[in-house]
Amino acid sequence: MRAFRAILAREFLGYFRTPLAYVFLAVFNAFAVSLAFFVGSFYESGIANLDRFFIYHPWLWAFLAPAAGARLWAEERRQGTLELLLTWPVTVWQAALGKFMAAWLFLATALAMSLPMVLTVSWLGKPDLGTIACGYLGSLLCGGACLGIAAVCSALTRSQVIAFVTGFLACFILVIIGYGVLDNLLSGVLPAQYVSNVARIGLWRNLEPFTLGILGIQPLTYFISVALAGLGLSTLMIERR
Amino acid sequence: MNRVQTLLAVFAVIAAAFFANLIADRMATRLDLTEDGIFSLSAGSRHIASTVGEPVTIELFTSHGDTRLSPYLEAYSRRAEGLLRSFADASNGAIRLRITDPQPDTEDESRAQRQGLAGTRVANGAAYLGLTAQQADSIRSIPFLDPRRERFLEYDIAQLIASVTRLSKPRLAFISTLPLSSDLPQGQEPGPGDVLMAELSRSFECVTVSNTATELPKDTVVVAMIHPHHLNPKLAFAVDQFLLRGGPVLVAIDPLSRYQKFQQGNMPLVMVPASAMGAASDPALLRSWGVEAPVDTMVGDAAHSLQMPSSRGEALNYPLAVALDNSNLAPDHPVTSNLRMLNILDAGSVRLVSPAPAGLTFLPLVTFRGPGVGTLPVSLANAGPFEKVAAQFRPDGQERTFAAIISGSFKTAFPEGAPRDANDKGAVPISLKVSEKPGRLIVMADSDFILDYYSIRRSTAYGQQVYEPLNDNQAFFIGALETLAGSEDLVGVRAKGAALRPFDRVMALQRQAQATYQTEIDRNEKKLSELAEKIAELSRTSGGDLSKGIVLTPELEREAQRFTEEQAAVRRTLRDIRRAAREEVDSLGRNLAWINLLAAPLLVGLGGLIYALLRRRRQA
Repeated sequence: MRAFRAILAREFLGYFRTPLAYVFLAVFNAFAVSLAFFVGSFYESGIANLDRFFIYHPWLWAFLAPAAGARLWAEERRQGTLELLLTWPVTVWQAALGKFMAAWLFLATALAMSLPMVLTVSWLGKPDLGTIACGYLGSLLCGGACLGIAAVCSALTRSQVIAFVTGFLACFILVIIGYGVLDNLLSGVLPAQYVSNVARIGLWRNLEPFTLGILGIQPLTYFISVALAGLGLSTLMIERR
Repeated sequence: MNRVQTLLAVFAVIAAAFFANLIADRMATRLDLTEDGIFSLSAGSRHIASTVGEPVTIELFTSHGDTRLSPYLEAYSRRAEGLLRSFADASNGAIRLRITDPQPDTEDESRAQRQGLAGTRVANGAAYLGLTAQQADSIRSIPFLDPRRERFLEYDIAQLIASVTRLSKPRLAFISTLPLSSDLPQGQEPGPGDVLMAELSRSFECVTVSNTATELPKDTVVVAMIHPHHLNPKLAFAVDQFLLRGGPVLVAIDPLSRYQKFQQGNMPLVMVPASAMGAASDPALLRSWGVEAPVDTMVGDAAHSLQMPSSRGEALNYPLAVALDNSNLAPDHPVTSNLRMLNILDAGSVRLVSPAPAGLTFLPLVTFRGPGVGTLPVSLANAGPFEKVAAQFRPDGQERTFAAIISGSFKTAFPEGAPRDANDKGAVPISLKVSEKPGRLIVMADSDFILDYYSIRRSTAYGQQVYEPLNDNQAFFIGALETLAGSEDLVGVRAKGAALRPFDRVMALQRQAQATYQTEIDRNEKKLSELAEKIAELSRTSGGDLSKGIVLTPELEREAQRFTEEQAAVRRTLRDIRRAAREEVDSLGRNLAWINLLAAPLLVGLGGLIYALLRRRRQA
């Protein structure tokens, strides 16, 4: 446990040693706010909730999670510090979990910075805070799932850039599936019931119930299982080396 | 770990994730984290959902594609979908939910249209937000989910499911001296209770019975008597025996029917048949059952009064028009527990006769209480303008019941047996003298309050005629009948909290801007119409049509030119005023966007600075 905590702290603080992290945090929130206000018509809709804010989060995570996750393993492998890390008195699993949780915590930090949106909507009307809290939980889990995918991509390569690009592409596919963009394309090839099943693995389809204030076991399992599977697979790959 | 082991492990991880999702998919467990529990079904809905029997398919038509709903309707669509899932979850698989996006000119769209769904007009076609429920061959629909009925969404869905699964609706004998009927001729002026009857016929098979009829329809399940007077004795006897056999009865008795008073005012007296006359109901039948509902006094409440216009047109607090709220409604009865407000004008009261008959229990549903309560004789209330009546009202603070449910063993109003006329021959048939089964009777001491005028606002939204409840008057009346008919499930499902909450602050700003600029807008619009009038006048005097350029003299032409220029200037001013009125709201939106945009970089910068400082101190 102590080893896990040490790695968690080392990795988490590690993010803030590079200026890139601050840029990411700022970019994430600038995009989140701009999309909600200027694309999602958050203000014009006149509804006191954060639907119009959360609806773009899968896009943001698809971008930010691979960015934060690319350095998980690829960097260590490039610099040859992986072997060094593995000489610590920790198991690979502890190290992997620590690194993963640190990255997730970094995503959570980015998300927490959108608190002004909550203040704004509470100032404008009387929003349902239970629903908003549930939406944040869903968004955080969605980010975790993207991070799981990014971890696998990072474990496969030595290059951070390749890890980022492949991670982004994989997440991007899950994003557009959820918006039903592929529905029309697939409906020519697959029977209707399969098309609707394909849409169910999309990120937005699983995030949506959270934004309504519903904590369902099915979307919860989806996000957690993707995150855990990503963590497990990446660790297996590192262990194999 | 060798290669094979790793491959196996990878496979195991993927398989585990896959099966976890497969299992979770079968589990319908959900937690409702909303403040008002808007996705948690009430016991009534759960019971309806779990007892549908044959599978029911619910199809939600909602447009997301090329023709899409407005953001507001889209939000409402998602809210409806969430609630529908709750119904499906509660049904153990008996209710299947299908979400359809009816693209233009597709089979989906024509199916939606066949089932009576009406599209709302959007930029490039029609967008749909409607619902159908199908069980075997029977299919029902809600053509348009109106966000203004959000509080009733659960009720509407429960009702839709109940109606599609019920083989036949319970038969309601509707005895009324008001022109209330579910089959009034189409296309005429709206009747006083069209919306009421339409709502009623969703739950009941309504059979309208005239007060001159001699018997109740066969297989009647519930009887409603609205403003009864001049009842045919044989009909009164039939109702009496129905009650004594355990059949439920609702009576709306009225000391002064505003509707009939108004109708009679418009008709020469000779043309009104005696049986249709009567501003006051006849309380005799009720009295012989043991229930006193005096029709010579009215009850009011100065503390809950509504405003009425005085004869000089000023607003006046009129104690006989009241808005009854939670403090007046029985909190623990299913009929009243979900209601919020009743608006009642010229109400009477109801109580048991004294001494109270043995075997009857009297349970008040709606009660006048508080220091402002008092009574006024009908003769006084009926006489003068509102300000005179209001001046004569003296509160005495005594509690009085407006509506009550009376149950137990009733005694017949016809101890001599069935009433007979000259044509009746043979022995008097045997009739019940006391209840053979415990009876249930609901009495309400007004009849006007259920009419559409007092309870519904009609309007047009998204190209559709919609009506929204002004108050819970009709909900109370229909809920009472549903309880009596035994569909208590539906009674438990009434009003709910709303998920679509507005930006209060923006609305206040809009109202304020409206108030500030309204006089200016009015003034300019008046000027505009005056100018238009002047131009028309000029064109008349010039003997031709100005727009065709037939102007006689250069002076007139200059004059016309001047007016037209002035008109354009006023139009510009009006446009500027409207823009200024909008400006404050728009600029708030812009400012909020900027604040939010800058907040994150500022927070990041600040955080980074603190972190750097801390590190430097530690290193130093």
